Formats: sequence, C-alpha cells, structure tokens
Amino acid sequence: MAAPKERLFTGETFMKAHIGTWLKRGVLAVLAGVFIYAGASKIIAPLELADTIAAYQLPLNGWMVSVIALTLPFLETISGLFLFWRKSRRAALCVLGILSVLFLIALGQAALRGLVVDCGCFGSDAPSYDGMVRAILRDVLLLAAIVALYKHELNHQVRMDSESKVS
Amino acid sequence: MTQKDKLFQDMTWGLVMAVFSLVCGLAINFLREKPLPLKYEDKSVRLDAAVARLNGENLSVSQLGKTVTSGELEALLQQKANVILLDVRPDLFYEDSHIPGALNLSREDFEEKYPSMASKLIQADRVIVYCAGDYCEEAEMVAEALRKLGHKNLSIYPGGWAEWQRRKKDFSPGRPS
Repeated sequence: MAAPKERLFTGETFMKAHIGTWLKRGVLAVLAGVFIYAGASKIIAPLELADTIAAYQLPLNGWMVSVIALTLPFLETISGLFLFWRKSRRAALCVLGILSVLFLIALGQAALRGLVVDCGCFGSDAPSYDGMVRAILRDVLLLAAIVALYKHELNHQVRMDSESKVS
Repeated sequence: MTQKDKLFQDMTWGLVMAVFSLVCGLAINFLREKPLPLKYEDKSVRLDAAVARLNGENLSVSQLGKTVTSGELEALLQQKANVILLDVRPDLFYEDSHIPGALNLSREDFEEKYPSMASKLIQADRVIVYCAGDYCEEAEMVAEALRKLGHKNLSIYPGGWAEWQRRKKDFSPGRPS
C-alpha cells in the first residue's frame, strides 16, 4: 500500500521547496530594489524625466508628457514597495508588468527609428546606443521575472481558495 | 473567482495605484521650488524663451564657430589661454565631476546663471561648450543661445564629458573657487 502523501516529504522535496521559496524571495527583493531605486531617482528631477520622455518622440502632447513625468516615478516606487506585501503583490506585479511592456514598446520604436535616447531608467544620463540595448535586455529579464512571479502568485491564490472551499 | 476575475481585480487596483501616484506627483510638484509645468514645453522652446527674455534685458553683445577636438582642448588648457570652458550638463552632474576649470551653465539654469557670467564670457578669447557626449544636443543648443545673445568665438567640444573621461584625464570634484 502506498504511503500517505505527507510521508513522501523527503529531504529532496524539502530542499526543492526551500530553494523555490528563497529563489522567489530573492527575485522579489531584486525587483522591488530595482523599481524603488528607479522611481526614487526620477522623483528628484521631473523636468529631466519629461525631457527624456519627449526624446522618445512618441505621439504625446505637452499635458501627457507632464502627467507621465509626474506619475511614473511614484508609480514605480509605490509598486516596488507593494511587492513586499502579499495582499498587494499581484496588483503591483500587474502594474510593473504593464510599465515594462510599455517601456519595451517605447524603446523598441525609438531603436527602430534610429533614435539614440537615454532610457531614463535610473534618472537622466547621456544618450547612447549601448545604453538602449542594455535597457532592452534588462527590461526583458525584469518582464520575465514579473510574469513568472505573477503566475506563481495567481496559482498560489487559486490553490488557497480551493483549499479553503474544501475545508 | 476565476483567474480572469483576479486579473481584472489586479488591474483595477493597479489603476487605483496609478491615480494615487498621480496625486502624489502633483502634490510634490506643487511644493517644488521649480515645479514642472503642467503643460510640458520642449527644451529648445524653453531655451528660446529664456534667450528672448535675456535679450529684452539688453544683455546682448555676436558666430557659432567650429568644433574642438580633445587634443586641441588639452593644448588650450595647458597653454592657459584666455578660454572659458562651459559645462552645460545639469548642475548635479557638474558638481559630481567636470573638466578642470569648466564653469557650469546648464540649459535649464541658463536664464538664472547667464547674467552673472556674461561679462566673463565677453572677455574670453574663446568659449568652448560641452555636454555629456556624442549624442547630447545640449552643447549646440546653449552655444546657439549664446550666439543669439551676441557672443563670438564660440566652439563646441562634441566629444564632451564622455570622451574626456575616455581619455582618462584628471577630473576636479566640486565647483571651481
């Protein structure tokens, strides 16, 4: 007769569970750190951020550029902070995912049009083509981490919901 | 609640976070010494406006010149010629590090800093303007603004701070005394 499921919790599965938990915590800490730093470094200089946004030559009027320059730094910082709380984590990941996709579109269209811009990721810097490539790679990595964490959180919530229904 | 419902719920909370961030941004901006205008104006428009205001104050004196290479700049600095080097990057970057002897006249603070610098610039045999690097347009914008104010013997160091750093030159921390 097969042993009950809980008895199969061997050293190997214990290790896997722990590695998974620590890996998730590590990725969350890195994501939170990156976005809190990115947001905070932009809060101090909104005009420079507005200039950086305008350099992307997107179809945005003056009002929209100002609204983005005033909102984005706080949105990144708040979302980064909200990653630390389980209840707000999914919403924060959702926001950060959307921001990362929008940033990829903005940077991608600039690169395709041959514009050399400063990515504006961590405050203002000199525009450079290498910097743009680095920013795209970094953003793809961040986006992958965000999607993986969001799926993990969603599955966890669904599992918790079904467990609470059973009990 | 299905996964779709949860995604919708997360998006809604995300929207609430965005609105809250906008409110924070507006409130902090309102308290700033130099707030971001609610309708953003392009940097060349802002600089033109500053030049027009300065011209109105009869501060004007008159040809956008050539460019300077790193070697020429180095030679000029070694000769201790009557040359003024203008770093037009934002003052935060300037304060961090700059080419020795350079003065700071950023596009953003142009209107504020220019009047106190005008006489020095007029007396100089040559004014060399630089910014962050190859793709930076600030140097040309500020040089053009100075030309409109009547300054002669203007040159641009197109390589800017990036090229100077690549050549591993000395840097001087802090403002010149």
